[in-house]
Amino acid sequence: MITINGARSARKARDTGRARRIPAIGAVAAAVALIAACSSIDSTDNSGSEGDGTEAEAEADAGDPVHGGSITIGRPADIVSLDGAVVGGSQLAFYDAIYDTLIKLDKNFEPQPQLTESWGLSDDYMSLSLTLRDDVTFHDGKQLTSADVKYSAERVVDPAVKSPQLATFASLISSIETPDDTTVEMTFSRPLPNIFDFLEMLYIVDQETVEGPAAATTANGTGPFKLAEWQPERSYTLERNDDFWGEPTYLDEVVVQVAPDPQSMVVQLESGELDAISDVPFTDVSRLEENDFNAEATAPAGSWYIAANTEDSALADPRVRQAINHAIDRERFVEQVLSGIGEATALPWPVDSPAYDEAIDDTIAFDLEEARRLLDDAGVSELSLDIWANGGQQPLVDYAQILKSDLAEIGVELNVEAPEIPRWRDLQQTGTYTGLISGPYGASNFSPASLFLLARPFKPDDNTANYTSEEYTAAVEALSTTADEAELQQAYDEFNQLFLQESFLMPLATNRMVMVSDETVRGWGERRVNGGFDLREVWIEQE
Amino acid sequence: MTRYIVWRIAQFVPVLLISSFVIFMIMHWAPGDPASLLAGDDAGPEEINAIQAELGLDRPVIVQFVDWLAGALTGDFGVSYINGQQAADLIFSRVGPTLQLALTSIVIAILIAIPIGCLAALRPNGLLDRIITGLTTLPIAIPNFWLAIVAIIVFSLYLGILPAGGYAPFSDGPLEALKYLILPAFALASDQMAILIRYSRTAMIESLSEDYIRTAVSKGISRMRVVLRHGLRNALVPVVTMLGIMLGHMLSGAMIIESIFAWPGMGRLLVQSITNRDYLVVQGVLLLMVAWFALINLIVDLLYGAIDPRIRLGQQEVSA
Repeated sequence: MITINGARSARKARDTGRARRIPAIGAVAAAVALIAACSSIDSTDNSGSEGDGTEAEAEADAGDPVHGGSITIGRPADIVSLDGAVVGGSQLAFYDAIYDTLIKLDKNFEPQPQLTESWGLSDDYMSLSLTLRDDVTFHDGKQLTSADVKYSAERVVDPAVKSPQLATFASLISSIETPDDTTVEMTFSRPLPNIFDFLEMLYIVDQETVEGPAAATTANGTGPFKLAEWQPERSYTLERNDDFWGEPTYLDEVVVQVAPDPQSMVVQLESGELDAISDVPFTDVSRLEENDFNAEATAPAGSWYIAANTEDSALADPRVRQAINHAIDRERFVEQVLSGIGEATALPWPVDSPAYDEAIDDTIAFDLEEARRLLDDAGVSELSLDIWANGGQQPLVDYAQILKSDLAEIGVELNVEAPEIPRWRDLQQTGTYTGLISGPYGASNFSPASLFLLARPFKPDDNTANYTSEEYTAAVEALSTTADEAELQQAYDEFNQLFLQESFLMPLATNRMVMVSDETVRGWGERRVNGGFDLREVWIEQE
Repeated sequence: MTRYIVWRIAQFVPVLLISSFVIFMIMHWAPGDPASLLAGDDAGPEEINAIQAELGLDRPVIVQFVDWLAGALTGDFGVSYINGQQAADLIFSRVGPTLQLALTSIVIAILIAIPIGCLAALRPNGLLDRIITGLTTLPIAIPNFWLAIVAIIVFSLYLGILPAGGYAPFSDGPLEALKYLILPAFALASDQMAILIRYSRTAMIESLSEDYIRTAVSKGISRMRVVLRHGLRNALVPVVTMLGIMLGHMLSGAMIIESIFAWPGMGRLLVQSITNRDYLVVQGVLLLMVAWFALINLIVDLLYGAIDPRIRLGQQEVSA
C-alpha cells in the first residue's frame, strides 16, 4: 500500500495496483511499507518525504485488526443510483460494499474467486464456464443462483439500464446458459481474453428488486454491507451483513455524508466530525499529512487527457497535434497542479500496465523547439485554438493556464474555456467542441484491450477526438484479440508508436484518487475497478 | 379581510404558471442534460440518445412541459431523473431544514439589529452612532461564505465548541439542533443583520424627528416610552418591508451557506439539481421559492395593517 509521499514524484515508478499505504512521513517507512505490502516495486522516489522510520514501525506494531465500531466518511457527491449496474466515478466503495462481483482481479490482473468458485476459459477465448458458490444469499435472504448472474449480465445491454460501459462488453457475449443453479456458461461473438475485466466490474443484482416498485430506494446485493438508510444528497448508512458468505467486515457501520464544499469537508475532517474524506483536493493533501492524517492514493484508474478535435481544420495535420503534444509540460502538471500525486506519461496506460513502454513514452518530451519545428514543417505560422477544460476538475482548469503560456512561446494563442460539467459533457460526448478539450478518462487499469471497450476517448469508431483511421482500428484489433505473448508485446509497441505519432489524444499524467483519514482508521484496501476504495478490510484502532 | 387574502392568493396562480413555464424553458435551453450525466464520460451519442428516449427527454420541450403541468395539477411533480425518487418527496424533505435555518437567521438579525439600530438613532452622528455605522460596513463588505469558513476554522477547528457542518432536526432535542444551527444561522444573518441595523437606524431617526414625537416629549411621557411606543412602532413599517425582502434573500444566500455547512436544505438541493440538470427537481424547488416570495409579500402587506392601523389594505384593495 502507498500513501501520497510514496506516490508523489514517483514518476514512472512501478506501481502494483493495490492501494499502497505509507505513513504520513518517512522515506524509509515508505519503502518498508511498500515492500511489505507489494511484490514488485523497482523505483520509489520519495523526494517529497522526510523523517525517520519510527512511524512505519509503529504502523507495523499497531496490532491485529479488531472488530467493531463505526466510521463516517465525507464525499463531495452523492450516489446516483442504488442499482449495481449504474456504476460511476468514485462511488465504487458504495457498490463494492453492497454488491459482489463474480471474480476479483488481484494486483497482477489474475482473477481470484468471489461469487465464482472456479472457472474455465476456453483456449480460443470464445467461451467461459463458471461455477458459483452455493452458500450465497442476497440481503433479503434469497439464494443466489446462476439465473441471477445471467440476468445481471444480460440486462446491462439495455440502454434503459444506463450502463453504457458494461453494455459494450456485454454485447460481445452471444449467449449465456445456466444448466444448473451453480453453473454459468458464456459464449462470445469474438475472442475475449479480457473477459475477466467484465466479470470484475459486473455487480450481481436481484431481478425482483431492480425491477420492483421500490427499485429507486432499495439495494439488494450479496455484499458484506447492507444499505440501512439513504437520504439522497445528504447521507447513507451501511451496516454489516451478518449473513455474508465471506469474512465478515470489521466495521459495524459506515456512514457516508455528502459534503458538497471541498474546503469545509477538509475542515470537518480536521475537527473530527468526519473520520475520512475521499476525493480530497490535491492542494490540501500535504498539509493534512503534516497534521498526522493518513493520506492514501489509489492506484491510477485512468489519466488526465487533452484531446484534439481532428475535424477542426487547424488540427487535421498530425504534425500540429504532435507540436501541441511536445508543448505539454507533464512534469510541471504533476508537480504544480497535482501536488506530485500521479505519474507523467504521454501513453494511455498506468506505468505498471503490460502495455506501457518507457522508451516510447520518452519520445514525446516537453520540447518547445521541437514543437516550433513541427509547426514550421506543417506550414503553420499563426494559430489560435480553444481549450475546453472540464470546469468540474480544478487540475485541468489550472493546467490550461500553464499550457496557454507555454503555447504562447511558440506563437500559438490558446483561449481557455472552463464550462460547467453538463456543458462540458455535452461537448465531449458529441465531439462538437472547437480545438482542444481536456478531461479525465478511466478504465486504463484493466487489460489494455478493455480500454477500447470502456473508455470513449479511445474507441476506434467513435471517440472524443473524432479521429478514425484504418491503422488505428487495426492496431486496436491486434492488441485486443492476440493471445500470443510475443505478438501481444509487438502489438502494444505498434499501438504506442502510432498513438504518439497521431497525437489525437494526449494523456497528461495518471489520475489517482486521494482518501485522507484519521490515524485510527486502518486497512484501506482497493479494488482495481476504477481505482475505488474498498471498505471490506477497514478497521478502527482501539484507543 | 378574508376576501382580500383569497384575492391575493388567487393572484399566485398566474404567477406560478408563468414562472413554471419560464423555468422549464430556461432549464431545457441550458447546455447539457441529465442523460449525458447519467451516461458518464465514456458514453457516446448513441447511448445518450437511448437514455434520453428512456427518460422521455427526446420529446419536444413543450410536450414535456404540458406533460409535467398535467401531472403537477394532480399533485404529481414527477420523478428525479438522477436518482429516481419522487421530486416532491426530495423537495419537501428539505423544506424543514431550510425554514429552520432561514427563520433562525431572521430572528437573530431582528434581535440584534433592531435594538442596535435604535441605539444608533438616539444620537444621530454621535460617537456610538458612528461606531455602529462604521462597523456595519464590515459584514456588508465581507462575503458571507468567507465569513462562514473563517467561523468554521475558529469555532470548530481551534476552539472545538461547535460542529463544522451537518444538521440535527429539532426532534433530536433543541440543544443538539441549536449546536448545528448557530454557525450557519449567524453566517447567513451577518450581512442582512448589518443592512437591517442601517435600515432601522434610518427609519428610527426619521420617525424620532416627527412632530408627534416632539408632542409626546412635550407631554412629559418618559423617553423610553416615546422611543419604543411612538418612535419604534412607526419606524417598523419600512423595517417590516425590509424583513420581507430579507427573508427572500435568505433563501438565495442559503444556497451557498448550505453547501458550506453540508446543511440538507433546499438551497443545496437546488444547486445540486442544477448541476445535475435534474429538470423536474429544479422546477419544483424554484416554484416553491416563487410561492415563498409571494407568500412573504402577502404576509408583509398584512403586517402593515397590524402595525399601523392607519393602513387598512383590505378594504381599499377590494373596494378599488
